[in-house]
Amino acid sequence: MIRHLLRRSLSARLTSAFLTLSVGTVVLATYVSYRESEAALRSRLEERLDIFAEEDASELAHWLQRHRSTVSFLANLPTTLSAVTRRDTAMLGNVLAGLDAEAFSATELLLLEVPGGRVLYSTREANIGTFGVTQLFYVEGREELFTQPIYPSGDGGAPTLTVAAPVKDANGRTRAVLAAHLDLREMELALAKRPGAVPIDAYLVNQFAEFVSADRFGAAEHRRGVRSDAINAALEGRSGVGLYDDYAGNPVVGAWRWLPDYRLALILEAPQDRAFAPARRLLWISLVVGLVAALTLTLGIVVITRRLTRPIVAITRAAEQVAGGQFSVEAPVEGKDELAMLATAFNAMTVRLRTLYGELGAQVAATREALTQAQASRALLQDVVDNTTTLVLVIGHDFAVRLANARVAALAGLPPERLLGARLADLPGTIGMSIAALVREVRDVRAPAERELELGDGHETHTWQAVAFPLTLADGTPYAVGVVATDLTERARLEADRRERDASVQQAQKLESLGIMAGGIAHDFNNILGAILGNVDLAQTMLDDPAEVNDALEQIAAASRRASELTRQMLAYAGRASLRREVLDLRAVLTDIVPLVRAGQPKKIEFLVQQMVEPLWVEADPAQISQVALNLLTNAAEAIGSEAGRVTLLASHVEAPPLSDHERPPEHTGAWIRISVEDTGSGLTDEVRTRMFDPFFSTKSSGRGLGLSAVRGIIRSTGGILRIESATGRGTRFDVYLPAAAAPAATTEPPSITPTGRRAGTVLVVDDEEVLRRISRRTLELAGLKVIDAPDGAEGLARFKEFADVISLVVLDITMPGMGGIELLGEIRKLKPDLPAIIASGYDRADDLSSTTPDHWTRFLQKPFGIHTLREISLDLIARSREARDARNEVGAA
Amino acid sequence: MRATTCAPPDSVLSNIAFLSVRVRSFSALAVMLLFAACAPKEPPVIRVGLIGMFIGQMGPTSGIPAREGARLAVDEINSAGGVMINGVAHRIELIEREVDDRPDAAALAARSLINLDSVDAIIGPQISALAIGAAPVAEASEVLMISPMASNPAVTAGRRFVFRLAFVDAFQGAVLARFAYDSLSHRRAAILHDAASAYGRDISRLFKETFESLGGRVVGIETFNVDDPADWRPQLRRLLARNPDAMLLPNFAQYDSAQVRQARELGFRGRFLGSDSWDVRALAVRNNASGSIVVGNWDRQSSRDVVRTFIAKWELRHPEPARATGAATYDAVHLIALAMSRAGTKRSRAVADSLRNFGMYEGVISPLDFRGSNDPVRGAAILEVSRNEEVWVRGFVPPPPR
Repeated sequence: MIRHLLRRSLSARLTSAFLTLSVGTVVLATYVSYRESEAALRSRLEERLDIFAEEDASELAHWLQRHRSTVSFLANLPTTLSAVTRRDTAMLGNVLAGLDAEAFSATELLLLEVPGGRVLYSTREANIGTFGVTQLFYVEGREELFTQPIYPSGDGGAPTLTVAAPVKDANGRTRAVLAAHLDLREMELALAKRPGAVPIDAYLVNQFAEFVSADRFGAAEHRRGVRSDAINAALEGRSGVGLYDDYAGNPVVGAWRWLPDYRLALILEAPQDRAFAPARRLLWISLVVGLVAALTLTLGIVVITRRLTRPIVAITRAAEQVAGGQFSVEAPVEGKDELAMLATAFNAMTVRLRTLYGELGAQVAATREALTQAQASRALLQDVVDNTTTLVLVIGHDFAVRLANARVAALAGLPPERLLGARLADLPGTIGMSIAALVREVRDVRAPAERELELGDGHETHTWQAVAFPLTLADGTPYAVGVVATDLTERARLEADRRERDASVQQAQKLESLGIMAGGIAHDFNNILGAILGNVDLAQTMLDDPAEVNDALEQIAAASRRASELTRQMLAYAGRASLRREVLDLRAVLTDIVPLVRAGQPKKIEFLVQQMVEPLWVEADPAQISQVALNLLTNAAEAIGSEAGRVTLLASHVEAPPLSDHERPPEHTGAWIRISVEDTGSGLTDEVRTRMFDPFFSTKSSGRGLGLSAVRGIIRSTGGILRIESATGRGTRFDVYLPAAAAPAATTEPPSITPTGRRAGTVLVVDDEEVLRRISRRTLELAGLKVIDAPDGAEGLARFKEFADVISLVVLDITMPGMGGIELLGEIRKLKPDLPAIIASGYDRADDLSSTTPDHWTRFLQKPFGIHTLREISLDLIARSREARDARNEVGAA
Repeated sequence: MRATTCAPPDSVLSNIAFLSVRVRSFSALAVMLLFAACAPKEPPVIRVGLIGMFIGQMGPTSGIPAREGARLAVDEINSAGGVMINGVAHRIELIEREVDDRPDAAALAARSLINLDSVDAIIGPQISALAIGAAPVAEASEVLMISPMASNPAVTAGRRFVFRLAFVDAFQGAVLARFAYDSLSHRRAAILHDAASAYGRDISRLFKETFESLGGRVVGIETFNVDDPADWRPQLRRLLARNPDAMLLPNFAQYDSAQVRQARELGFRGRFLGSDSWDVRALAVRNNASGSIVVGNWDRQSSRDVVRTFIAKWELRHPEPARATGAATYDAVHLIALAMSRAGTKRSRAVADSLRNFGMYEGVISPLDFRGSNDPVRGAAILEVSRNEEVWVRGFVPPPPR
């Protein structure tokens, strides 16, 4: 922060430099004067301490001398001697009690008997009777006045100073020793007290660095004595003054003396903080005054530099504003000095800048606009390509991806944003390499290329139809390669799905249609049965007249044939086989279906079938075509409802179906056949028109809504087109356009052999239904043939083996319990390969014979068949078989 | 003593003592660093002070045996790698201090060892009179002190830091009285003792109590003053007038020979009884002392391994035979080393606690067990002074059961 300010402001730099210098000077000067005054104080104090020490030492000497004199005086008192000799200690006590406590202070005064050292008297009564014979003061005190320098007392170790003197009798013999343990606390108190601004403490320490004063001795913290530099020096016998930390660690000024007579160190100390307090006060005063002066001067400097830097600051401000984009700013021009010239030049510069900035702004705006548009179009492009199912890629010549849609990202397994700019070689899977090869080819030959690629996304591999093409700049220089690929696999699958869906819808609808048909069939069957029953009754009543009977029987036969025909139509419609494409004549199908529809509809509705003169060949499944016609006709009839109306059916050749603009031309290019179903109903509403092809959409409460959906599916699968024209109130017309097929080649019927000549032959009839077996047997016997019959396949085979030589034809029912007809024929053919056979079936042959190859000697007969048909086919086969055998025989004979 | 690169601290500190405060603290720091760097060159030391009377009359019987016993133990310990305290080997440094036979001198010596030599423990003084002077100093400074041979109860009474290895006076007085009455069948005993000596007083008092409670009679007690000329005839005459058959002299070695001689000269034919202060070997050369019974701290003819090993080592170093004082001082050094090692510190408070709870220690002087006190539970030896310079051991009084 401060460093920042210093870099920014000239004024601050000047001010701080001045401030630093002046403060430094003040501090230095203050410190020097402090040190000087401290040194002066110290030397004066040390001198004083030295003098005080001398004073105290002599004071101590006086104190001790006073006590020595007193002890000596007491020892020489006659009273003392008489107290010893008489052992009258009471008297002695009186003498001692008279001593001046100020002049003589002892902790204990005692009188010891010589010899033996027994304590005769003591100021401490407890000690009377103890022995002091081993004490030094006793031993020495027997001889003369003795001072025992400081020593630890024998009963507690406290420092003790003892003065002892002999008590001698008239003969000069020592009778006792008077000893006084002096009060060291008093001795220390005798040291001069020097109160004042600098208090001076004086104390005594013995040779073991112990305080001698009882007030200080033995404190727990001084168990092993007290130590300081002064005490150590004094105990070594030196004297001196100096600065040091006292025994408690406080800095002091002190003086020390060793007093050998007492074995004591005398210490005088004054605390340094008190001693040097004046110097410190001087220090603070100088510092404050100096700093105030420095600050005042600094303020002056600030004012001066401000005045100098103001124009510079003004130009700087202006420059900052210009830098901030305000080109209208002008720096103030004051006077004509160098700064004024700078301001003028600056103003000229801003004018120039203003012009330039305006131009630049316009350019930037234009560029930004262009950029925005480019980004938008790029986003649009990306959105478009992302929403297609094709792969869309643009690859630069450096094989970097420049554009890729979401499909590509999904296929590569990368997020789209990572794909952009990635190199093809870096893409996971095979897509990178496949595309790279294509790109390389296009880049090299500079022409579009098309190829099928196998691309996998890790789960499955699809075939893609990829088209790559060079992208060029305006001057024709290629700069990238575009790749568009279509998923062929997916398309094929969608196609298959749709076909499957259509088939299931158609099958469902077929069932629905059956219900519709059942009504018509029931109606027709009732008519037929009525005719048969009526004629039977007629015949019974007219048994006498053979001609009438014959006529009735003819009627019965005709009715039965109609019934049979009806069944055939039904089977054809129900057609178990799906998608049996064959070339067929539409006329027959349409003609067949109309009566069925008509039978189920009210009589008010007229069905008009236009005359169809020429055959209308189409290639289609007849059942499906029937279904289409049935649906359209039924819908048309139901559109009319209960009103009277007309349904018109017309089929004819046309050139081509009409196409709307958006429609693709159909693949078929030849002729077309149109089937039109037109009604006079109310027409289609818009809603119905929109939804009528939806499966399960129905306007009828009973319908399942599958009709038109199935119709459209069938027509589409046949390659046809459905058109609807409808107007509200004027009816609806459905036009079905189917590709016309070429007429089938004329079938060459085998030459019919007149059933003359030899009719001999044996036929094996195998059928599980007894009625049919009997009719067949009767028919063949009437034709002059011998018949062997069997009720099932197993017995049939047994009978065949039994009569193999004579059997010239077998008639087999196709569905039997156990061994079926086809299987039985297989067994028979193993024995006689060219034996003629007739296979009779209740169903369409395509169902059950799909695995059997039809051949020259096998004929299929659909139940129910007429007896004439059976007879003629049987005779025909037998005759041909015989001719063939004869021919082989002739060749063999020749 | 120190490597020459590491100057002794005293001179350095005194040289810088008068510099300014700031400069000095710097220098002190430098000195500390210097010593920190030097410290590993010297193993840590346990400073043990020995107070004894090595010179003069007591020298041969007390001071010198104590000094030699202490030196033997210190040499053993140091040559075995020192004392392990918290895994650090400490060398023992023995600081010997001569003392006059005065309690104040003993106090002076103790104070000097503590304050000036900074010892970790003190051994001595050997006798009660001096130990009584030194003990309060050690106690006040909280420094461990073991007085090996002090028997006066006052030495350790009420103190935490002062120990003894001898039995107490009362014990030997009682033992002597019981032996004299039971085993020697004496019935009339006389006593002469130092009037100023607590030692003599206490032994005499317990002897008298015990002897008379057994049925014997103390016919007279006389005292003498040590600062008198060495003439005890007046007292002896008064005692012999009472016709004693045994005479107890619980006095120190410098008196016993003369007192025995004067008693015989005055016609005493009975048996002398002595305390542990007797120098039995010195007495043995005098015919008139033979048959005397002395209670002693040490059975030097014991078959215990420690005793035999100690005597063997002693005899390798000294022509003089081993004495009880030497054995006890030797034990004191070992006990201090073991207690410090167990306590894991040199600090006297912990070492004293460790010593009190040391359990049984197989000392040379005797098996010792402090059992939570500062006085050991131990036994006493009964010795007989023989004519042919031999000392017969008449028996060993076992320690009282725990």
